[in-house]
This record gives sequence, C-alpha cells and structure tokens, in this order.
Amino acid sequence: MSTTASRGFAFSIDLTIAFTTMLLMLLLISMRISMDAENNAAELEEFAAAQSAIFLADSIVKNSNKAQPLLGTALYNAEKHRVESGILDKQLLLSAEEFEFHGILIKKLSLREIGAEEQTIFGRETASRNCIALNRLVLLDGKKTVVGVTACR
Amino acid sequence: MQVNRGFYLSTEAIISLLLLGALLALETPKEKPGLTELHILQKENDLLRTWLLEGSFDEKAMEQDFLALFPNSAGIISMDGKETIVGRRGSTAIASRLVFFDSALEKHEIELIVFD
Repeated sequence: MSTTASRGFAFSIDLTIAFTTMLLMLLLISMRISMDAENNAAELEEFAAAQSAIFLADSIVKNSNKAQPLLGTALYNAEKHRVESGILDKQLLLSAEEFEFHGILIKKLSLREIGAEEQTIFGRETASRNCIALNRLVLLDGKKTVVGVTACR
Repeated sequence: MQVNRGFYLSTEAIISLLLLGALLALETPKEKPGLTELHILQKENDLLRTWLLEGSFDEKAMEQDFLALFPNSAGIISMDGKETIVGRRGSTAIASRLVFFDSALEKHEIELIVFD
C-alpha cells in the first residue's frame, strides 16, 4: 500500500514538472511567434512605403503628366513623339505642389545644380522616421541637376 | 516498474521540449528587407544616362557628379578600362555598365561601381 502511494506521489511530481515545463515552453513559443508577427507587420509597412516613394520618384523623372507634375515631369518631345526619360521640363517641375498618392505624401521637392546651391520648389526639411529622402540626377535646361524628393507616410 | 518507466519517459519528454523550445527561441539572423540597392542602381543609371546624353566624359566632372549623387559613398568610375577611384573600397558593391558606340562607330564602355 505504502509502495503504491509513494509510486503515485513520484509519478505526480514528475507529471507536474513535465506539464509545467511544457506550458512554459508553449508560452515562450507563442510569445516569440507573436513578437515576430508584430515585427514583420511593421517591416512590411515600412517596406511598402519605401517602395511607393521610390517608384513615385522614378515616375517624376521618367513619365510626363501635365495634370499632376509629381507623377511625371519628363520632357515630352513632340518631334519624336516620345517622353525623354531623365530630361525634365523645368516649367512643369516648378509648378509642382505638395501631393499625396496612395498614402505617400511628397513633402519636399528641391533642385540642386551640380556645384550650386539647393533651390526648394516646395516644402521644408522633415526629419522623421516615417520620411524617406531620395535623390535623382537629371538634365534640366541642359544642366546636370539633382532632384531631391522627400516622401512621408 | 510502470512508475519507473513513466518517470524515465517524462524526463526524456522534458529534455525534448527544452530542446525544441531552445531551437525555436534561437534568434534567426534575417536580412531586413529594403530597397536601398534598387535606389543605388537607379542613381547609377541616372549618372550613366546623363553622361551619355551630355556626351562629355571628363574624369574630374564625372567624379564631381558621382560625389553629388553619392556624397558619403565610395566607388569606381571606369571609362574604357581607365579607373577613377573615389573614396575607399568597401566590401559590398553594386555595379552598372554602359556600352555605347560613338559617331565613328567605336565601342566605348563605362562601368560604375558603388560601394555600400
């Protein structure tokens, strides 16, 4: 009788230890999975914003859109019936204003001719984790110019 | 006898669970997704296109253009095999190459390497 009792006691402690350890491990694993999911969601959001900003800046130098200059300010060559990628229409570029596209706000647009001072078309410097500053080199009035785009989400 | 067997089996289970937990808790080194490389590549293409459109391949001017677009980076500008090194070489490089023919149909090659 006493043998059965002691065996039973030993078995219960063993089971308790195993069960507690298992629960602890399950808790740790679920915490880890939850943390990873949160991090991935934040990274994905950041990535999507950077992607939109980069594509928007690319559109400025490669497309032509008279209605919305920030969707394209490349020069349209009527003679060749084509848009000249990398050569910008200064007049169109200077008419650009703050613009939001798919949750991305273009807060600042600037021009800097190589070796000259920066000229801001609109906006002001924004130092934020949600903003990305991009530079593209173009020809503007035949001069090499760096176009600075600051896009924020 | 059965109790003893049960005890040994559970110990193994604990060890297995601990190992499983330790494996799952291991920090997996993952690369943060980013588009920096794409943007560098776009800027390299801008430089190559602009040089081609201008048709002037002055070494100093090309170096100045490179620094205007990549102010804190190092790189190599190679024109027909003649290299201009800007800054110090890094370990990761992103390169672009432009091949073109001049008016005399002579082949020229510009290679641009940016160290990240």
